[in-house]
Amino acid sequence: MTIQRRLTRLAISNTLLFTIVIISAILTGGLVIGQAWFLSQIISRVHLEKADLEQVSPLLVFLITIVIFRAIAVFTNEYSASILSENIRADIREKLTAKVLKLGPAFISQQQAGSLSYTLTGAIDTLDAYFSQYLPQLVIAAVLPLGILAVVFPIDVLSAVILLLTAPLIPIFMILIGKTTETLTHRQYQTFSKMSGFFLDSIRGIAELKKLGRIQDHAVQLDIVSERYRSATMNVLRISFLSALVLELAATLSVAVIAVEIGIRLLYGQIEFQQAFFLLVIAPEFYLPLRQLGARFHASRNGVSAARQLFTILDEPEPRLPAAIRKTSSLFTLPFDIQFEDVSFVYPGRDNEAVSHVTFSIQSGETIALVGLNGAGKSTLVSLFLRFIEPQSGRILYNNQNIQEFSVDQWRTGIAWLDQRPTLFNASIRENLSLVQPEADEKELLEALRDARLDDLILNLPQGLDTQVGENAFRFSGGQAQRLGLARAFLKNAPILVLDEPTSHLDALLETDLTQSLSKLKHNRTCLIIAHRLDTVRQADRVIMLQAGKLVCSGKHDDLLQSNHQYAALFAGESKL
Amino acid sequence: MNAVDLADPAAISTEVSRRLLSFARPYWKEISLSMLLSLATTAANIGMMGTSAYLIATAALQPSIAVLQVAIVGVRTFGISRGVFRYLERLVSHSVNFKLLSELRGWFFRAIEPLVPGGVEDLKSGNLLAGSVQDIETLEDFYVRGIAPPIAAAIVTTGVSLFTLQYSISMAGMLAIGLILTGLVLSLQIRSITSRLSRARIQTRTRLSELAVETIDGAAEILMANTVDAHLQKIKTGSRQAKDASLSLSIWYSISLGTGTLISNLTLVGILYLGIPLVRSGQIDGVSLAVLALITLASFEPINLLPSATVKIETSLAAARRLFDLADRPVPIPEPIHPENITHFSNLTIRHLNFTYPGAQKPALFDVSLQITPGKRIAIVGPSGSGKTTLLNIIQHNLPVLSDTVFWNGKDACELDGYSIRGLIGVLSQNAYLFSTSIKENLKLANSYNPNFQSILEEVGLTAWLNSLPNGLDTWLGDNGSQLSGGERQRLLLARTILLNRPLLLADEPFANLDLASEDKLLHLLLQCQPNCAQIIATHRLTGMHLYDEILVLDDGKIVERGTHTDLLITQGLYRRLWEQQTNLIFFDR
Repeated sequence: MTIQRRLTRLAISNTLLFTIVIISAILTGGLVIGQAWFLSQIISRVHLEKADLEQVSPLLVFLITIVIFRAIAVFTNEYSASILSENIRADIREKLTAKVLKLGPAFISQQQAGSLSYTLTGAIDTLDAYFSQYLPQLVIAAVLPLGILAVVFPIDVLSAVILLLTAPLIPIFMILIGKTTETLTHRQYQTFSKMSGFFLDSIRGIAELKKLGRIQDHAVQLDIVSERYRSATMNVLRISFLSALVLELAATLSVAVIAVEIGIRLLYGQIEFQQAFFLLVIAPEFYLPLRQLGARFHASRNGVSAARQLFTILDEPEPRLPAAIRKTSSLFTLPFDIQFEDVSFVYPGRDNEAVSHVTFSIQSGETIALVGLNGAGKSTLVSLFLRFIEPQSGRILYNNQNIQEFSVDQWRTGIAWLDQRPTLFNASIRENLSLVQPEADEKELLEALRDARLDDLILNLPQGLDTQVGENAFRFSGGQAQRLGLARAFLKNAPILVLDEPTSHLDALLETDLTQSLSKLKHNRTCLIIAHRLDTVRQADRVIMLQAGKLVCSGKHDDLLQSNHQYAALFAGESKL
Repeated sequence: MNAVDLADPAAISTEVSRRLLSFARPYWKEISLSMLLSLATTAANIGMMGTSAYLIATAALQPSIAVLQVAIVGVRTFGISRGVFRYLERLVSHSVNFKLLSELRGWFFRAIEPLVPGGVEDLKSGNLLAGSVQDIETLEDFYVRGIAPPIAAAIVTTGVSLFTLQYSISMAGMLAIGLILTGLVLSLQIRSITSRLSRARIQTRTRLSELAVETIDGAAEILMANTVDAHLQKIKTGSRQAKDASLSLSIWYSISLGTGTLISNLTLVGILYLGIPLVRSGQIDGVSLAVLALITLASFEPINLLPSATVKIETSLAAARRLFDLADRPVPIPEPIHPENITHFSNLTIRHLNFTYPGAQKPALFDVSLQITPGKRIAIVGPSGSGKTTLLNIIQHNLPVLSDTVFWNGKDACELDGYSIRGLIGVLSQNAYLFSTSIKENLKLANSYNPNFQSILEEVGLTAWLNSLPNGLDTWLGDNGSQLSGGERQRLLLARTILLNRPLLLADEPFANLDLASEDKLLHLLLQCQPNCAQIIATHRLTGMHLYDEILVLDDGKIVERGTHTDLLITQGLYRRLWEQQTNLIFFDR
């Protein structure tokens, strides 16, 4: 319920549009009543008084005017509801993206693969049915029947009473049936998603099925599963359509009761023809909005469950930082030292600490290699250093000042970060490079490319730096992408380098190339490296070994091999080669 | 599709519709029934409104109650039958629709199967293929809204116009024009406008999902470069473009609704305008005018749905077109006209094989020869991109080769049945697919006759893991094995390969990403499990190399060295260099 209230609040915050949607909806309803009134006037005058065209022409003009306004109101209602829905969705999309970026890579890596990208695209789209269909209809269903009732009461009390008494039947039926069909439709939805899951699985697994020699069997299996789900779904639909039938019959019978009731009273002259005809035309309109609401209610359900996902992310707590931000121009001027002081971090929803009471220091100019098994906390430590996350206890100090006192942007300006697989954005190579240094000129870009040994390749492309990275244009290989990442790091020219060393094998030539570029990049910089190469570990000023979030030991590789049996055990497998 | 002028969107739509309709042909009985029922629904509605008007208008003249009795019964009958007809219509149309969709799923699966692997790999990471699952669901709109409603609408138009003809030619003409204007002219107009606009909309949405992926994959880079604002600006721009494209469609959708309302009600005014003088002159009575007025409104009800439905049908046709385009792709390796089956394996010989990918400038494989017989073990090593996977794909008959290069038991592979060749080969690779079902079902795919899965899992060292699972063999593996760790996954795949028990085993980087101890253990297991099984393993990690009868060193598509581990280390060539480079890498269990 609170989700719906939140969604409604989103709509209301677009005050002008929401007002237009509501007013045009109410106007449409009012014009329907007006049209019925003039229509019954005209028919009555012609039928009983044999009026000619001239006599009813003012009425006809009114009717035409109403018809035109009604068309405009229908258009306005539909279109403004779409704009409303589009605006809200665009707004959510921006807020959600901003939030995801604020929560950062540490949060993203905790999400299930694929589900986050669905949340950012498909889930937002499913909200459309809620805003453009369900919500306006909700207003119409609340207002129009009341309006009709208000008009009918002074004209004919008996009909009004019938409407009043039968009206609750529809919502009551709807709630009664809704309760039973809710579980049914839920089950149907599950059945359906199982089936489409099976199909998706089959399509994605075709190559595997072929290797296993199961193609023919599986095609038959697919038919069987499809058929089984068809019959299961039909069983559900039989019941849920029945509920629609009950609703329709309730409405139809009510209209029929009114028609017969006014017909008989008309016969005995107890009601006027014009009023009777008006009631006849207006009575179905009384029930229609409620019935349509039922149909649109189901269409909006997917949106509501998607909204739950969206709100979960939007409500995710952000790291709180002290308000007082110290500005210093001298950040990372040599010499400096950085101190991890009893730092701990637990991912939300996890029990064990990913990084637990870690204390060590980094002196400017040092190269530090992080080693440890997968899940030992190396990446979390780097995330803390890059301030993608903030420690729950302990502090990271820069020259004895808590780094939280510096702005995040200022902190990151001093750090170049090189991932195993740099992300390539769907833009030109120039834009992909200058991402890290928007003011860089052509010369600097070329120099960075040269340092990363990417200049030959890129300058030989027909459009050079302006080549688009993407589907149909130029595709980077894994090694080339790594070199682009290197070029970015050269371009950023920051005093600190944080590096996740590539684990994949490259060809021998490329390997030598990369190693040379990398050592140039490391030169004169303070380096924190998640190490995967023996040379790196050997050459590091200090190796830090993590295990289950805890710092096991730190020191020179050769010393640690001798002095620490856990460290020696970590490297024991290597000697087997 | 060839006979059609591909530049003409209308011709394409017609062709796509024709193909879609061909799937519906076997169900013509059910479709006709659903059409009849939808017609009956509309007729009952018109009947109800007509008789109600008749009832009221006649009652106003205060005749005897007997005169009204028939009308009263009529109102009730039409009212109830309308609901019942609609109920039946929905049941029938949904049932046939589900049948059609399952037919389409089966068709699509069978049409795509010969293209995999090889025929669809250029598609963006298989997304398009996965997208076709949704595309098929969209076809529902074509069958539900595209077949029965237009035909029913045409019949209603004809019927109501003929009925009105009894009273007056001009009124009948007016009604027919109104109905045709809405149902045909407006629908076609909306269709031609929106089909153009919906293409623009798809582009903007693709851009949005691209940006979403960039947000997720590139979050770290964006944050480190302090370009959050610039990225949000890109999202804003993309969002605005998507919004504009969507709204330009919505405006036409809204216009179609408004115009439909306008035409139907103006037709009502027209009926009155024409009818009033007729009543005055006594050509028709007042009761008839009341009846015709309400019938007019009722007959527009199904017609008014058509213009907005065309928007959905267009989307549906676009989806169908994507599906047909996929299914119509050329088969990478056409089966020979008279394929010969091959049932056993005595040797595989490759002679001077050259292979160049279409569009590539240099060959991926050049002058490669090898021979393997039962029990022999070959390792193919070399840097990434040297052609290892290509060679394995050629052996699996996944890539087209010239005749006289690949021979199975002395027979040219080009003359053999592809399925029977694959039937000899077991494949173990990291990117093998695990189905989103239980452990048992996944293993059954390899061998449904051998129920002793426990002992196989014990062999690959998964017993402890299996015992830790509350549901044991019935444990659901998640989406492509997402519930498994890397090691568990590779062990399970190994178990599946052992169960498959094929005479030739191809392994493509089978235990990459495992720690050395595990890799060593599994490699030995792989070599022990089926002593008579021939094996070709492609790897860039040089572990256990002394266990292979022959090592082929590939570089740039050429075999640059071949021999045993000891021979090659002495040679001081590429193999030696790779070996030294390898010793520099640390493989922690990842």
